[in-house]
Amino acid sequence: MDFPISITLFIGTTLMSTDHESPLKLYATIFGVLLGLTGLTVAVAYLDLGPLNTLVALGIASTKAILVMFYFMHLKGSDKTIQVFASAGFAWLALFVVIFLADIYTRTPIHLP
Amino acid sequence: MSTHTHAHQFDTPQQQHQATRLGMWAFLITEVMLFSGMFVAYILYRTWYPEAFIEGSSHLDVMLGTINTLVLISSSFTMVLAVHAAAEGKKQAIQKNLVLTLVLGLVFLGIKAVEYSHKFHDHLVPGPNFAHEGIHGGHLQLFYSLYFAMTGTHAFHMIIGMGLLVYLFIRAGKGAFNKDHTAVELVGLYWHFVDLVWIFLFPLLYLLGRHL
Amino acid sequence: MTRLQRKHYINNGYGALSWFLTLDHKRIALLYLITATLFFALGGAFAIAIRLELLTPAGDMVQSETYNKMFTMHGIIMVFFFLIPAIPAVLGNFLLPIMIGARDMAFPKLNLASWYIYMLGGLFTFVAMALGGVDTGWTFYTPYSSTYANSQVIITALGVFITGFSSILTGLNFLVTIHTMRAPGMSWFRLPLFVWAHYAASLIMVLGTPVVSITIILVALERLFHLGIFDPALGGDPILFQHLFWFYSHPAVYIMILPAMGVMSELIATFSRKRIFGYSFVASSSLAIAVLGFLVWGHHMFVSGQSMYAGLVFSILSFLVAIPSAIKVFNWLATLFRGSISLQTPMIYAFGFIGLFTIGGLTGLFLACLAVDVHVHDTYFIVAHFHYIMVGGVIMAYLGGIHYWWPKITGRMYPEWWGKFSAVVIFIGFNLTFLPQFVVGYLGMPRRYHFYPEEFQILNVLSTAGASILGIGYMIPLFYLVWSLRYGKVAGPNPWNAKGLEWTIPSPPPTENFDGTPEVTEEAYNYGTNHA
Repeated sequence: MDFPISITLFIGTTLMSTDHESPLKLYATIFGVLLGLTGLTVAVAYLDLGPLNTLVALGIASTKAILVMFYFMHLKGSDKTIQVFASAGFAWLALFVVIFLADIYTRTPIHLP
Repeated sequence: MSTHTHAHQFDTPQQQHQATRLGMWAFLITEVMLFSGMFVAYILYRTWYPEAFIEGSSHLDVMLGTINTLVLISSSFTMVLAVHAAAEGKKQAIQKNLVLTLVLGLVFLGIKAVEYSHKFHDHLVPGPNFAHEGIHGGHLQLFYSLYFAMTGTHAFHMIIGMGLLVYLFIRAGKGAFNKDHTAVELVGLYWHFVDLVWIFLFPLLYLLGRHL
Repeated sequence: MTRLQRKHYINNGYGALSWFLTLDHKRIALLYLITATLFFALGGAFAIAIRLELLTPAGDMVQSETYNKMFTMHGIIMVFFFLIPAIPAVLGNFLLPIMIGARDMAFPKLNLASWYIYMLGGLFTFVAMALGGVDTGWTFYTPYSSTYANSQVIITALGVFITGFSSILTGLNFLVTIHTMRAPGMSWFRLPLFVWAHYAASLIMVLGTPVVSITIILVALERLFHLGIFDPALGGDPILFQHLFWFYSHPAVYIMILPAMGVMSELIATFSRKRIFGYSFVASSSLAIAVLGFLVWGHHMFVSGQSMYAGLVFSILSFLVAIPSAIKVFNWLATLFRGSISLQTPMIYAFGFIGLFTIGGLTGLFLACLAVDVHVHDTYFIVAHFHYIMVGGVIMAYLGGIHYWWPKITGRMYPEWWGKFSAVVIFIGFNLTFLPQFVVGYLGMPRRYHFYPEEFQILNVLSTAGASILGIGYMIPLFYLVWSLRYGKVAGPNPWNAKGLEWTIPSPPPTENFDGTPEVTEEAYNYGTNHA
């Protein structure tokens, strides 16, 4: 159990260190984390967690996405406007999905006699 | 070579840089909404036909999919290095990393081509050639229609991205990014976006019901 | 007396290439003006054909399939090639940079590309028409469009897909321009409301259009490669298509009306010589309409088979979305109150808008009510409702805006009496065309049918009579506006004595708009005396 802890500490300190000193180290760390998360999502897929499978898969994917956006696409530290635009895009996708789900989850089937 | 530091409609180079970056992000959110339609269709049919989706997913090659995911993430890494090199004005490093990104992209597409040919061979391409023993024929076609539509649209965007990489490579060779590396930055944003889409496509298409 | 050879954007460079390769937002606006007018004429021709057929109860002029193609082409051309681009691409393109104190848009080359993409999409649609047209209705409902239709669905769909990119790129250009290129002192709350309206419309263009783009591609893929996403035989859901389609196409109507409302604010302020009452409310209501407009698409699907509970939610939200529109109307009325009103042609169009948009909007509330909509869905009530907004609203605002900014764009005044005359003819023709349609729709006449029960004939004849008057009304400005280019009175920089950066520069403006970058020190509509 120490191994994940030390990894987390390493990642945490790298994330919190000032980027402009060695962004390369930061990029490499994020890269490593992304690879790790990929392996994790594949591994978890083979475990039976019931309905949690989907949630975990999407959660890991979202984490990877946020890491790519914040650090590779430099969203963290960008103009406020750009951050709002980026959030708006995903907010709109969420809006579409949620309202759409309101339809498909509440349809009452028509039963033929 | 132009002596202007910025285009005439802008007042300062900073304003131009700010505008072009915002423009690329605005474009990327249009791309998010473009893919959203297919994600909505996916959500519908996955909700209605879970067994058919699990069945469809089981015929996708997890190993090839995982390798592709790792390849694309690596290409994002090399792209970030290319942008960094461009910011430092290091021509050789820019070109090296652009080539690496391009090669990884080609590997991704190559693997996708192999996967597509397997599907064609196994009669899993929707249409008149579709044939599958067992249950859920129609529903299974829905899964594969979405698989091809989503990965096809994604691959199309990758091909465009690779064209942009070639363009950058040529311009880098001419020393175009010594003063202003905005173009590399913008293509980088686009490339990362293409990676982002795959980050979601991979679990949704390949990792359904693997535990069964 | 020597002719002044002052350089402005029209004489700054001659020859076809200087126009077809221009990067000047003002010239691009004119390219759009001419081509949008041509599309409007084409769409109008189809409208005439429809109204001619509907003179008699029997379907005796054309076959049913042909009639289906007529109303489909009318809808596609009017919606995608006229109403959505017109105000933003003509007036927006021309005025936006000037109103914020900029020399051009953020991305001039993208701006030109938008026009070429628009033309390419139009070409595809034209080719589809020549090859026999499409008969699915502008709404392309599946599985008819994806499986069973025998008409030029794919080519038309591609035409609409391509034109969608024109809209997306225009919206993107507007958003970035407004965010990053406002002149010093031009804070957000000093912007003309025209700019706020276009900002909101651009948000919709950017967030909504891509969804219809992918939807159309999926229909085309289904027809071409049997990628059967909408095929019921495979378990596909036709309602899925409707969700995907209307997620864009409802906000699309706000893309049409918001710029029109922006024009309205400018006209009302100038011709009442008064600040717009409740400026910040009008500005915020534009944003509210843009956001809320995305939450109501299911009101087009009340009887489609979607969940009744979802229908309830969409119904409530549809009532809500009327509120910001009403806020605008009330604020315009408050602006008029105790204003110094002059009834020039643009103001006549503005008054027409207020009345007709209100009727259109109120009938929208009828439709938001589930029970009423079940009764009038797919009847002429719906047709009348949206024509009141799109023609009575958008087109009146467009014409009002064209007349208002005509001296700025061309350096010439149009003949005022003819302007007023056509505005009145259009108003009368419009109401005669569409008011009977409310009645006949409520009585049960379905839309998209070319035959109907005999008892509806008198109302249909009235409607067709109105349509002829309306058609004449539209043609008159075409003549006198072109006439004015050569014989109209030469206009100075500010013939209306209006506030706004566009009235501080010469008419027509120089290519670079301003000498240097202006500095803004006063609020919008700074007409002086008046109270909040």
